[in-house]
Amino acid sequence: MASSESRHAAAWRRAHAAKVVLGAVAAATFIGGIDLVRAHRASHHRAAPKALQAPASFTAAVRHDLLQAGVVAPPQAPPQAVTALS
Amino acid sequence: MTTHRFRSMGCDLVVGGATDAEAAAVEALFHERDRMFSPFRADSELTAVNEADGPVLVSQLFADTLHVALEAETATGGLVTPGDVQVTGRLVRARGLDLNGVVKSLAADDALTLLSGDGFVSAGGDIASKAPLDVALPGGGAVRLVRGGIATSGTAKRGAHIVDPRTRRASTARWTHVTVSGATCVAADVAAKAAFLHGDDGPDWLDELGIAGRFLANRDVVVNRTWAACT
Repeated sequence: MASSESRHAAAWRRAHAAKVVLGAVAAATFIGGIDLVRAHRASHHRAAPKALQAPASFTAAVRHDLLQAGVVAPPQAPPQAVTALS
Repeated sequence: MTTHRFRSMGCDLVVGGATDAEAAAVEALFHERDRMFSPFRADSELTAVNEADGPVLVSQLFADTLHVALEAETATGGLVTPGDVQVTGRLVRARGLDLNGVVKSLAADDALTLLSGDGFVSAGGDIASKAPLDVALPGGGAVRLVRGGIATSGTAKRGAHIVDPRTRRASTARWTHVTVSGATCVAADVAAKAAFLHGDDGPDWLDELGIAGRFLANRDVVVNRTWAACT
């Protein structure tokens, strides 16, 4: 009789432990899922929206390509041309 | 040096050192660009794009010019902008597209390639040169353009006509003329417009790029460190 009660108590403890583990896994899955949704769903983002911008490296490359310096020096003769507003 | 003068794009043009045939080719180039990019012509490609309800398949030259304008927008942080435009290859959708920021100076660079010898092309004061050229400056003085192009931007001639895209109003910069030397005429033109819009920060902004700039505020002349070191 005692042996039967011991086996019954052991089974009850295993079932209890299994419930605790399953509950913890379910809670972790739920919390993880919520975090993933917040991270990836636009309706859940918490940072202020920013305008789309070209990456800084791209801007620097274009600036380097387009805005290159010319070479000027002191004048050596009467001007042959005039730079002015048009 | 022989010079050939004509008018196109609403400004005076001077071609120096060209043969008669080359001068004629340069004149034809500017008239072609004017027909294509004039906002005042009903038959220009620019007008067709601006008045279309949807995307328009543009010519390769138009697409290339727009590409340079968009590069200028990126390079200047949006200060020199063609406006709101959507581009997919040669399909362009836009309203109020404005390519004035690059068309004239780009045409000067392209026209320069038509000259077989040393010479220059001046489009309303935006100058591209194949050889060292002494250039008179706004407010007096001169500089030798050793290589590249030189351009002047400002407000003095037609009033406050440079709109700051950040405020959508005429710029309040104190400069009347900003003269910049670039590796090409279009580089000089874009840098001059952006430096003007940077206001008092314009000289330092050009210095960060290693570009020489000369700023005129009424009769006060300010040159940045790069210009001072060169001249």
